[in-house]
Amino acid sequence: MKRIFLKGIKGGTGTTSIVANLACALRKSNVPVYAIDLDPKGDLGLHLGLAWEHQLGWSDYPNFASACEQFHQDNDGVKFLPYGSHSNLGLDFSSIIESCQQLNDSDDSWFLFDCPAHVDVHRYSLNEDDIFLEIINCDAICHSFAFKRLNTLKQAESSWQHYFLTNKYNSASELESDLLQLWQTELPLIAPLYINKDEVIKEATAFRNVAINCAPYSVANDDFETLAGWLVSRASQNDQ
Amino acid sequence: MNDFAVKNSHTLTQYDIEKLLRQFGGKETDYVEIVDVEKNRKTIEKYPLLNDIALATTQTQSTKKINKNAIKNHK
Repeated sequence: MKRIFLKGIKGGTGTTSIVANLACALRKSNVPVYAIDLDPKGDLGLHLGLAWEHQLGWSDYPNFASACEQFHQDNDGVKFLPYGSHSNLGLDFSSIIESCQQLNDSDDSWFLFDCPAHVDVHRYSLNEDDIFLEIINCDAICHSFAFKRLNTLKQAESSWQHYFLTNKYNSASELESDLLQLWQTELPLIAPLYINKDEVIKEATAFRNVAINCAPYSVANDDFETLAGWLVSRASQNDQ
Repeated sequence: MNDFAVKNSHTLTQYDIEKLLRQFGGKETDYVEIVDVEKNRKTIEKYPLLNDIALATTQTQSTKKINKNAIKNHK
């Protein structure tokens, strides 16, 4: 069981799009992939073809066994659990993360958690096999947040694998180009890859789908496949 | 003035890589990371917010070093 937590370092970094696209990229290897929406504002289901009218999710159930009714499967075979409308206070995100271990049907299965930006990383119960990706955009605010995060990580003596992943990179912008070069050489924990800004990601969502299916030869698709491959190598490092 | 007699390429040959490894690589390191330190410095100086953060983090590091030295001296 491989657990990947993805969280924006601030709101609007594009975390949910990454979760949906990454889930489908990982699924190409025919391994079980679960995507769990922990973000009340994420709407992960919309990226994976869930009907807009659908309101229910795990936050509408008193316990995990009943919340499992809300697992859906997209056309690629990704099983996902929407957040819902928060009509029941019986479950919180920690118990959902813990309970997901009951679904662990294979050592090769991947669990992707779409985490809300406002919940701090230290509120998650992480172990040394977990990978935590904090999504950043190439702007000065993310630069500031990343250095603040580094300070808190040093103090917490984190045991999990923590990385900053750059999303929506626009190579035509001088500031973004400057920042990315700076980060790649001087920011500790920066992932050695980034996701380019690509209209395909937005268009795919409008078609209730992901880049892999809408534009298989797009830059975005290449980026998500690279990300999936890199995560496989990171996770296999844990297995050694 | 450009010196065209000098090969000006961004692609390193195997010979270049081996030379760099001999010069800068560690005993157990099979790669060399090339960092344009000057470009990074200019980027930080160009943007005031980045400059503030760089100054603050450098100061924190130097304070920690001073504190460590103080502890050593105290012992």
